[in-house]
Amino acid sequence: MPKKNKNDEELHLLMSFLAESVTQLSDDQVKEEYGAEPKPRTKEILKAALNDCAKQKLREARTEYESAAKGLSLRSYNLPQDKLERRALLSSILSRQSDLRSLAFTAQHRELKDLTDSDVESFLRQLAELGLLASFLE
Amino acid sequence: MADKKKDVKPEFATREDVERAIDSLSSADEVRLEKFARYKIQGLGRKALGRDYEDLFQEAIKSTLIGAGDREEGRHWRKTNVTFVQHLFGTMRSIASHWKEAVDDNEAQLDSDSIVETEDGDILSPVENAPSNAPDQERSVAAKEQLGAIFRLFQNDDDAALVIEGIREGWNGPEIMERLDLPKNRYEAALKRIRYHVK
Repeated sequence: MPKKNKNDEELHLLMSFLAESVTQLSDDQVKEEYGAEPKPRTKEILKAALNDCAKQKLREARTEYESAAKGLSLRSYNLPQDKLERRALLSSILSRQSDLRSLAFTAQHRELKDLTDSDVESFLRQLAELGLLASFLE
Repeated sequence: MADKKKDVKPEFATREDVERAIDSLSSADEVRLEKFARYKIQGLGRKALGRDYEDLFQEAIKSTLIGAGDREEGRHWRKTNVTFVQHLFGTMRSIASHWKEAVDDNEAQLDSDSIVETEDGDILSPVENAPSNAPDQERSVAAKEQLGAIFRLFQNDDDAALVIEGIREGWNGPEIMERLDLPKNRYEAALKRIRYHVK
């Protein structure tokens, strides 16, 4: 284990001491010692940090979602190759599982014919991921 | 895990609490926090690795927000026990300490990696055995220069020079006053002059 550098440690001791001494200052002392200095940007920096953290969370959530969506699209689910067959399969599933229809379609997409081929494929993949497709494909 | 969030105790502050607390900071609090963060970063010297006091603020808020959503991670602001300012002081102390330790550990690892064992079983450390101990000297130059500049500032101020000596010894305020026979008013005035010049 190398010995700790003396100068580094002394500088650390001195600055830590000064840092702690600042925490003990009364409001009046702060005003007296630092009143002539430009106003600190503490609030501004802390709020920016708060917003950055929120944005970071959003970025992480988006990355996670995109990664999951990519995984879904890359995975092979043994879906019919033909788009008409895929549409027929979805139609068959929805007719036999009417509860899925209300879960699956928003008000403007209540009709299967309104869905694009891509929507149909995406929906089948999601059903497969949930394990709801296997019995229909057998 | 989803259950973790439900387990967060009510006394742990939420993001909204943090936001309100920032809005409520007094101008004196703003000054105290800024000076504290600046001194902590200066104390890290080269171990700050280019980070500044704003990075310390950023990390403190990030850690607090993590703690607001998870009882096992981040730093928890127990708002019923401590003020937001006290919480931030504590969080910044802890973060700065971790940053310092990370560099210390890394350097210890680098030094131990360079240790070799001879055929006779002797342990040789190129770092320790270097004639001029050059790596240590290089590491130390910035801190040495900074300390030298501080000492020069107070070469004609006996009380301030004494207080600095006491701090270098690792003494606290009461110890400095007692061991150096320095009355409280002179100690406080000297410390104030040190703060004024060392920013």
